[in-house]
Amino acid sequence: MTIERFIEAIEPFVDGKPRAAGRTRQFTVVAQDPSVRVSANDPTILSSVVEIPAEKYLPGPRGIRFQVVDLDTASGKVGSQSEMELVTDPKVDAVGRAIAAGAFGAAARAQNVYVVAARTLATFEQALGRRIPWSFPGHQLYLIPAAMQEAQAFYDPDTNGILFGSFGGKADGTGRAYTCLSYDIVAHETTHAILDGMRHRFTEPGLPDQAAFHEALADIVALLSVFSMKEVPRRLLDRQGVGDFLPPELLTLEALQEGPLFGLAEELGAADDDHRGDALRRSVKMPPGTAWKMDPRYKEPHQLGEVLVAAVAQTLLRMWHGRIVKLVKEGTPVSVQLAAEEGAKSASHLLSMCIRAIDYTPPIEFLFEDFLDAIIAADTEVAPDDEHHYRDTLKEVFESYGIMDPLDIDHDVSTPSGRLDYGSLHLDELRNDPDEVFRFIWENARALDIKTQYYLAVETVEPARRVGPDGFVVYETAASYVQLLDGSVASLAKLAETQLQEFRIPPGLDPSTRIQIQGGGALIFDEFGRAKFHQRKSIFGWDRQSDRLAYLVEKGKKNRKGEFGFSDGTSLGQRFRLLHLPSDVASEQW
Amino acid sequence: MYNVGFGDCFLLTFRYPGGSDRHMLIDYGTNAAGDGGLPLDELGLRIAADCGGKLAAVVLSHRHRDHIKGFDPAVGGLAIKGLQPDVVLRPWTEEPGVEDNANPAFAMRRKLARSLLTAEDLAGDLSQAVLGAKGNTLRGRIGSFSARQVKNKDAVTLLEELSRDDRGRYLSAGEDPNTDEALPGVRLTVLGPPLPDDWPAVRRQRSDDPEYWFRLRESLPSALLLEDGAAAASDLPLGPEAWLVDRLRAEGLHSTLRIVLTLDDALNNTSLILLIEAAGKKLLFPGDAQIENWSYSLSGPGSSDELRAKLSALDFYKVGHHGSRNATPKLGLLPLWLAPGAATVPVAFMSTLEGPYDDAYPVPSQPLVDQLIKPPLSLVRSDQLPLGAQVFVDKEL
Repeated sequence: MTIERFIEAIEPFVDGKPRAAGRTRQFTVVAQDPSVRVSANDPTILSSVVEIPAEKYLPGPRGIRFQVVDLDTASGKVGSQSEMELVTDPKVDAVGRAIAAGAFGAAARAQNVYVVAARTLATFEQALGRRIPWSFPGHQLYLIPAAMQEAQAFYDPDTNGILFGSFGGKADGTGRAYTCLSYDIVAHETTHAILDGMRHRFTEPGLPDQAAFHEALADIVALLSVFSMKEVPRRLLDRQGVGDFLPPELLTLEALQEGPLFGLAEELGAADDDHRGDALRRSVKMPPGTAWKMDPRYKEPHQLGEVLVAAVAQTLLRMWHGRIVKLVKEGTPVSVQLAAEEGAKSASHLLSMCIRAIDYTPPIEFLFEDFLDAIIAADTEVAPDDEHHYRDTLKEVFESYGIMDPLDIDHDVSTPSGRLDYGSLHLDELRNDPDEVFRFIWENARALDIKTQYYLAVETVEPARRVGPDGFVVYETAASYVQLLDGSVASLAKLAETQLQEFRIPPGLDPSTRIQIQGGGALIFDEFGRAKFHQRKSIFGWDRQSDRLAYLVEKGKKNRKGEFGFSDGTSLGQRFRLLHLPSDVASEQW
Repeated sequence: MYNVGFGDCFLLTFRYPGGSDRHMLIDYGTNAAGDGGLPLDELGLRIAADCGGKLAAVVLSHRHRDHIKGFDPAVGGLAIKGLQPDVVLRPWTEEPGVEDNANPAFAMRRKLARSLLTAEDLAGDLSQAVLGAKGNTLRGRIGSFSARQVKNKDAVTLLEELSRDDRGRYLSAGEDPNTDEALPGVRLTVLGPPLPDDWPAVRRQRSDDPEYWFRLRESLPSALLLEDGAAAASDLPLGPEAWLVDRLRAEGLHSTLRIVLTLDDALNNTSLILLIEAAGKKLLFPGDAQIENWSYSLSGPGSSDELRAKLSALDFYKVGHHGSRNATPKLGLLPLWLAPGAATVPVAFMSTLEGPYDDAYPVPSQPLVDQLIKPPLSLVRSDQLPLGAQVFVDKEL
């Protein structure tokens, strides 16, 4: 007897192009920015090879989720569209060749910005286990690599795109600096776009934590993404490029902080004029402590975000150090390659933990403690064992910055009052239909303690397949809902009274002033359609509502009709640009 | 305080025993006249009369048009010249030749000074490129903002003439203005502008570079001359690119406006911040200084307990930049004045005019005004003087 094998005689080329080997492709990107070299002995621009999902490209380049448009807004002229060059060896792709030549033409810039943006989106989609839509209808985000002659870049939701500036250089065009060649800037802005798609209401008027989270997450993703390319920690550990081994004293917690971590902080964000890089630099260097809570400057979203970034940076440091210590015998020199790889792995792991948490955060009225809560809850689902105690480390570090993990409340569904009723629900619709999730909330309003007589809308329902670090797979559905209530400050205060609580009105505020109060939550269902978690921000948390009103009044965040809480009067596009105001300037403004 | 509309013009009179007075003029210019004030050229004659034909000192806080225009010989400069000031105080950026100083120790100063000059030339080109644009459009705003940045060469020349023979003082934070001869018994402390070498906050890595402004001069004005990208749109094939170009049509103008505002900020931050002490009274004149300039003396190397004590006991505060949102330090100054048990509380004088300065952030800023009119503080506004008494307002201290 002979075994018959089924084979396909595969064509090596399709349409004249090399056939994609699998579901991803590799491309070269600039690892930090073109001013960062491999080492003191090697002046080559530091680069890395990264993987992004394989797709078909049209000129632009244009793919499924991104489109590069080479538009100069000053003249309104569109440059020629580049083709995404597909070669088997990434070292000789457009960016690879540009690095060898030391000069970046339009095609190389286009590839770099496309790949970094796509890699950032892929990181989110992998961690969350699902596709993530943009905040606008349509599927493609514009990337404009040379939009304006300024040293800044920003996400512009009004035009569904990210505008990158360029500046400087000589008359013949050489030496010009492009923000689209800075990995951290591209990752930062793409994160704004992604978060705007996931948690659209975080740009609404509220306590500063909400807007701060946008900046904080963008900086966290930038910092950890850059660090997760092993060439980066490798260079930071061995600046001269001489050694293969490091003495153990260079790998203590202090040495790793002073050397690689602070060194990276100094270099990041150096390319822009807004001093945004100062924020990242300051965050990484911010020592643990709670003094920031009393400092009025930390009421500005921009500066407040720094605290969260500081906590994540310190967590990275401790994770990295912990991994090195486990792999190495006490007192022996350590291979630079190994130490660098452990750093990259720590950054990558921590980044996934942070991203996964977003689905578990409330969609509105976000506070920093919610993020910590969400990271712990989400990570526990995909990595129940936590053998490296990353969650303990994370909690300890966050608490050292004064961000405390809120107490979890257990809701016992086996009791008569806690019972959840699924009787009238269609379980397969619960996976993706907002109406079905609303049915669940309605039928279980009492057990969930949600007052459904006030306006409630289920905004997102997303099925996800999350894979943990050990290959553990968790199927979940993440849903979010918001509640909104409009009224005069006086009538809302009366409502609070009926609930035996107090809605504090700031002195001097006309009691007939209209305000919109907000609440909401995230509901996580397991693969059988059973509710697992309810991360709630009750609309009737009057303490929080009082704080929010006081903040909005103090900052004058009202709309054109003088109402608070509906919108703060700035257009969508302006909001993201304003987030980039240097924080010392922001806190001194009237 | 003379009512000049959107601008500054202050005359300080120091009464000496024996009945003789000495006078100091701080700024003389406007962007837009208000109701009831004198036209700028007539004001020159008025100043001459009010100071009895002689000025001890002239102070120019910074060279923005709304502070310098009156010194133009074609406006009121000749009148001021006739007043033969003994000293002329200006920020270090105004020193003739600072942009050419080859001494390596002056490298940062030279760079900054050169950038300002190149940027001012750009502003001139831009205001020419949008000539005729309506005021409330983006192009119009670019035009009006640019026009304010253009260097008034004739006014500068006159001031330089008045500064000859060792009468000119080009000051930076901490420097002694050496005015004892001109104004005995009056102590002047310079709180700003700090030198770029001493205070990184006033440096902006990119826009401090003259090359940056050269590049912009090559491309921005000609881009403005294009009819809003109309030519480009017709070249594009149908599709998303055309949609994007259309949506971003205004973005190029927004970017150009932002760039001009960067220059506006930079020039504002060259302002002299002067603390004047005489006869036991303390007065603060900060020009249009913004936080990057202020911070040197409020929280940076220029700060001290002694200075803080003096600022806590101010009698007079000229509101920075006509009441804009970023020229009166909220955290750095207000708490000093509102501290419980403060012996003196300053009266604030604001020389301003309501009307579109910047739609996003109107000047004067309402929250600032609200704070300054709340007791124990008090505010006098040049645009709200009683009818019949609108030319100037007097305050004896």
